[in-house]
Amino acid sequence: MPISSRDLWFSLRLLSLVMLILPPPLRAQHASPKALHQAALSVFRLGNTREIDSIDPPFVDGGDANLVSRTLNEGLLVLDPATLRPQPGLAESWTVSSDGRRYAFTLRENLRWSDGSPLTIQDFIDAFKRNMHPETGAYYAAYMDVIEGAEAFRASGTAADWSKVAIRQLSLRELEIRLKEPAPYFLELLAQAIFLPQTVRTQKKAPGQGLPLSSGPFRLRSWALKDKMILEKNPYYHSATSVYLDEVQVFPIEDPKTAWNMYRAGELDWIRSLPASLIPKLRKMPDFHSSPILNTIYLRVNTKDLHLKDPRVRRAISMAIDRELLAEKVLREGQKAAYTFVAPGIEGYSAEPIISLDIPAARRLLDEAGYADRKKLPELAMIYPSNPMSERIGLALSAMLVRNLGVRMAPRNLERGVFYDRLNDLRYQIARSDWTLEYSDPRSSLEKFTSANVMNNLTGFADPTYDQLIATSSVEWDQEKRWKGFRRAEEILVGEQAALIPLFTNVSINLWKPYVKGMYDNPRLYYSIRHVRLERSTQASGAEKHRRSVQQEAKL
Amino acid sequence: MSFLIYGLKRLVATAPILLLVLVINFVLLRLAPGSPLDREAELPHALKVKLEAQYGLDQPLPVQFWIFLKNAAQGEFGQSYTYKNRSVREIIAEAFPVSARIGLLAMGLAVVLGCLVGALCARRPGGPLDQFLRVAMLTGKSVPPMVLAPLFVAIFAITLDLLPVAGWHGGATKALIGPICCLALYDVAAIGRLMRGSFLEVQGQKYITALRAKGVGEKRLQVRHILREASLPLVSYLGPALSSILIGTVIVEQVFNIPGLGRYLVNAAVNRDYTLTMGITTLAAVLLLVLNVFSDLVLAWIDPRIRLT
Repeated sequence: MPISSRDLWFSLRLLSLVMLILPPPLRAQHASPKALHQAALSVFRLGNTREIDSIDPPFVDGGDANLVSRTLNEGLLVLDPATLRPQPGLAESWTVSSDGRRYAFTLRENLRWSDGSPLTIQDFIDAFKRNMHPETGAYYAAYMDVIEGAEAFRASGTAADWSKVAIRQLSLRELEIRLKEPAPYFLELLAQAIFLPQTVRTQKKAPGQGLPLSSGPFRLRSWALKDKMILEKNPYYHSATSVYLDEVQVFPIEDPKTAWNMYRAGELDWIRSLPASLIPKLRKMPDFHSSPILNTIYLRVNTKDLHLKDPRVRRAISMAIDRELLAEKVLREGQKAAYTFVAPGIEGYSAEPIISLDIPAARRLLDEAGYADRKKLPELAMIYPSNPMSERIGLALSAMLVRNLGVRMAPRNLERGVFYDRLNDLRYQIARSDWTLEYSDPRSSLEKFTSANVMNNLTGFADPTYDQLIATSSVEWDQEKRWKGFRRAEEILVGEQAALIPLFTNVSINLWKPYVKGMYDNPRLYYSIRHVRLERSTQASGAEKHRRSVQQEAKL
Repeated sequence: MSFLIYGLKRLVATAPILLLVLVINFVLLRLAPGSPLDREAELPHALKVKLEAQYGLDQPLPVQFWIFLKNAAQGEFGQSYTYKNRSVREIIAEAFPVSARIGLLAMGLAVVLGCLVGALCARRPGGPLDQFLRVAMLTGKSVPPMVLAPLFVAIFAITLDLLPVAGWHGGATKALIGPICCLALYDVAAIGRLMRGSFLEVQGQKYITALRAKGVGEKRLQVRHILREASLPLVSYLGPALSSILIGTVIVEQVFNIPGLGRYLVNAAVNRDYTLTMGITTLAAVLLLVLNVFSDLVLAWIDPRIRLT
């Protein structure tokens, strides 16, 4: 059958269309010099749990973003990943005055941004100004309120108020910061993203303006959203010779199953999430690393609610919860029952239980509150943002309350936006929340619930004694007195008033390959990729091959 | 020429539908509780007011919609609320080619295999091959991607170690095979069933018997006459199917960790990222309408009996 020109034309068009959308042909199986070069490099592949919203310091939020931010940038100080004690960062030394209010930092010599341009004290001052300015809307700007004059400038943003902020350049390499009150945790705060130095070039304003500069051990080479972020060693970093890795690849993987599959197929060296069902099984692997973290999962109680405004009802609920059962039998991921709100682990601060399981006392309290006839207490609702773990918590708690107290409680799963909306408007009865200590001081947790802190409190809880205790303890420099005051406040919040019900403290879940050295698990999730090195034999053979190929090329 | 005029006319006629879709999307998004500025710790009031003004959220809804329309007409949807310093246009420009490439290849595969399966079934309806393929197609259509994709990974990436588990790898062939196969299976089955029925119907037509009687070669008869006529329902099916597959599907993208539009759309809707959600849904609506018009044009091109009016 002769082929008509029309058929031929049609086939050609079809073929060209297919060619257009087909990917380039598979590469030949032999390794190219570039691939060999790659093998010689020390490349670390990390599976993050989600895509990062921003690496611009005022908008760094959440564990994934902080990890990347820390890998790219360095502030005045860093924390030692093993001990969590402040270590020199861009500042080589510092002094603290005897009243704990004046801090003077001396920067290292010859500091440079990742493009080689000088990094100066002015970059710190500019950054602090930008982050405090109300127009910037920095997420954690409130951390800076501890600096003298910062609160007023944060409210007004005027030049007059900026001149009163106690941040001064003393000399070419010396920076002075004065605090409005002594804050023993200030050095730890300085390791947070909000205190990183910035220049206009660290902020990516519009597409095509190039990649932001960085001040830390790595610099950004490329960032394809939801695909891969590549960080390369920053040759201008002050301690570049002590950075072992050449490249860090960060993959945002929302599905923990995908992360696990990639990890076990050898496509990733470190993953930070796992499917809950696999945790008991994987616990035996040498790759498995888990440790308690300073993150408390708790229930917020709406103290303005008709039925929950009586502290006795709230206490009764708190005392009827079997936290050991919840942590060990329901969750089974290594969580620890929490009887305080401040996560245990702060040196010298009491971790003695404030509230505990006492079913007869709980029943008595509820009777006294006028609910001897349980039918008078309508079904309570506990809201939580959608996630599988919260669902298990909700179901377990409602079973415990019915069995131990005869109180019905229905768990309600809400979309994240709706959940926060309800929380902010106090349109809820009980809500699942969590809080991570941001610095090793109970203030980080307890300050959230003062009556003035309307943005974080969200329970309607207001107690003048509590407010007073937080105010006086916050400015106390003597640690023993400081801890005592905070502990008393916590007893009011969790014990007497039971405005919140602590459930358990969380654990970190990580898998990293046995050849990954220099990683430290710690309660603050403060991982430092700067210290990581890879000790695998294939790495060495890859390097050897590369050297040989380079020698051969030289001979030719 | 008549094609062009007809196509343009049809496109103009879809404008009110597009407008309606956009209005519904816009209103539904604003009616949903929560706002893109909601976080666990509420923003200071002054800052919230400032941000609302910056994004135009302080304007009355009709004004906001008018501004959105004016910008959308120029392909501008504003900054994403979630991804700071990234414009919606930038995000779509990165993610759409990824989804579109996988979608087009998957649909291409589905059309080829679907037609083949349909033709094989129609050769001897009721025969053993037909029976077997029909069961296989029913199975293929019933297995959802959320089951298929993890199975595919377990077999081909983990057990046999032939393909990477996940990742885009710059669009390398190996990285595309899994998502394409998982996306295509449903459509292979759907197109196969459609084509089987269509082939059977056309084969029974009197003009086919007449052509055979006239001595037209079997190959020519199959390709020029039967396939051509039988592909009409396929073309109608492809319009909407292609538009949805091009936008990407969240499950396959999540399992294979592919930076496509599907993942963005779901995250954006959950986070109430108004600009990003509107950007992607607008693109989806435009694609659907344009592809529908296009499939009508192709129908008329294949079968001259269909009048363009």
